[in-house]
Amino acid sequence: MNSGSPIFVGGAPRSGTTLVRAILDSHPNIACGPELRISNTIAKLWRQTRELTGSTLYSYYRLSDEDLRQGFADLLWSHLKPYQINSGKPRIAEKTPSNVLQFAELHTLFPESPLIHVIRDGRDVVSSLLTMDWIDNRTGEMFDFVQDVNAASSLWVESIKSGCSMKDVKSAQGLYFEIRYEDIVHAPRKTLEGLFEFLKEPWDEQVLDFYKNKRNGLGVNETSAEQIGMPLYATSVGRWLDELDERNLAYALGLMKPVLDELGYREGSNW
Amino acid sequence: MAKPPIFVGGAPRSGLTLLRVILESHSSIVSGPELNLIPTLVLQWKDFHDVLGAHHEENYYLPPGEVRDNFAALINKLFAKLIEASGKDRVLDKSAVNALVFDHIHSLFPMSPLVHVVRDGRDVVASLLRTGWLHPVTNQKLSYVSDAKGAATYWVQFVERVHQIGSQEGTRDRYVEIRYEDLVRKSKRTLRGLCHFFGEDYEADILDFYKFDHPLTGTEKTTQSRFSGPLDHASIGRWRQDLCEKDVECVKAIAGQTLIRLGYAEDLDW
Repeated sequence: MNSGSPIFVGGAPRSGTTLVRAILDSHPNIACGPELRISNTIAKLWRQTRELTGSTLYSYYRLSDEDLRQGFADLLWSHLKPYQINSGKPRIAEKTPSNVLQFAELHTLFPESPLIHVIRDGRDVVSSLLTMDWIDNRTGEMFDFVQDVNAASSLWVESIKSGCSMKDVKSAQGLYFEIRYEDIVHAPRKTLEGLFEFLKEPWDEQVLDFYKNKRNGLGVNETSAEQIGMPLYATSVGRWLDELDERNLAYALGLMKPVLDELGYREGSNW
Repeated sequence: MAKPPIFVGGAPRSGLTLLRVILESHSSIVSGPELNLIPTLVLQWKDFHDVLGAHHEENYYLPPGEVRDNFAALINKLFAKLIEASGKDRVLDKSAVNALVFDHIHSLFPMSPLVHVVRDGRDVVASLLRTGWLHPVTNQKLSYVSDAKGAATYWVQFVERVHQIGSQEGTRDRYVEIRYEDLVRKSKRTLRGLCHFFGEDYEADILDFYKFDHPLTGTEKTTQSRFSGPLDHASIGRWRQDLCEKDVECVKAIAGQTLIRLGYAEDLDW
């Protein structure tokens, strides 16, 4: 099986990744389903296999680096292909927030895949995360990043750093793309035109009506399912001003400020 | 198209490397040095299956059988070049931990033989205590090679768990147990039975395994010196020399019942 080049979408959770997925899915040429939730695990599994067993595989088992890459890429692609075929569309995108943490590995596994990093003001991300009640299926406990401001802030920082590091990867030029939640809600036409131009897809007015689409698997693991059934609204931008109390804000800024500054998010105000 | 892979597993120091090296001398079977990879891959399959299987089936048009095939395809790819280069029909993958995931391996490879190598726990303990194996990250001695208690506990838990798995419906049709002592003392009979279980002809030449080169990696090298000549009985019952009385009592307390159940002892008078 020769794998295709899926578009990978990722970013810190609550950054607008589901919004981007809905927008992509409303384009006639792109199918973007609910979160697959295994892309980053397979990427890590590939990296781990390469690190721990690579030398034995390459010597005694006569595999090449390319064989190993292809094997794992095919494994992930085989999980996406049926959805793409069923959609009748030529391209598929896969949105799971954690994809961003393995953009580098996904880039090596799929050297021609666009990587879309959805970015949002960390203060709003933390605000939003702390109102979530997400439970980890594997432990039955709530994730630490929806309970604790430090964990939430760290996750945002880690996601941003991981995604943004792709800017320095030469082979990812023309593949790595950043899109800001604030830009989408404040200037949708301009921002989305930029997105589809980047993806080398013709503009289609339909994408501005993304919220009108009935979507397969709507709501599966998607907290924002309801919101993407509504037109864009800007009222969540700067929610932190009302929602993050001083103490939490102080903790959050302790971890996030340098990155917020670098991204141009201004102190005390919204975007 | 290669025949189904053969998977070998069992508690370390039970004769797994020896069996691998003998079997890879067969004209149909190729193996490589220990990878310790299959358990990780099949456990990942299992995790996806348990946590996301329903979601993938409902929302991604991925019936469980297809996902199993996709994982099996990856594993087959990892072995493909070795098989091709050897000119042989099938691969044998050996790793102690394979046995602890025989059920999941069976899910992905329903036709594959699952070989559990078992040895007298007292000799396993004696052998483990001599390895000095260190944890790859902490550089501390692994708990099951540090003292008789750790080693005996490890062996009992390992063997009991594999027996549980090997008796499960489905898995048990492909599961076969080989005793190290039988391999050494009744070599031809044991190997003939095993080859037939695989659907292969018995080849007497495989007993000349020690005349050929067999690359080993990592913990397999601990066994290297044992391949310099034909099978011998020297290691059977080594515990009588190697284990002090205190350790013997410790092993008896922890593993005594299992040893009796496996037929290695009739009672606890030893």
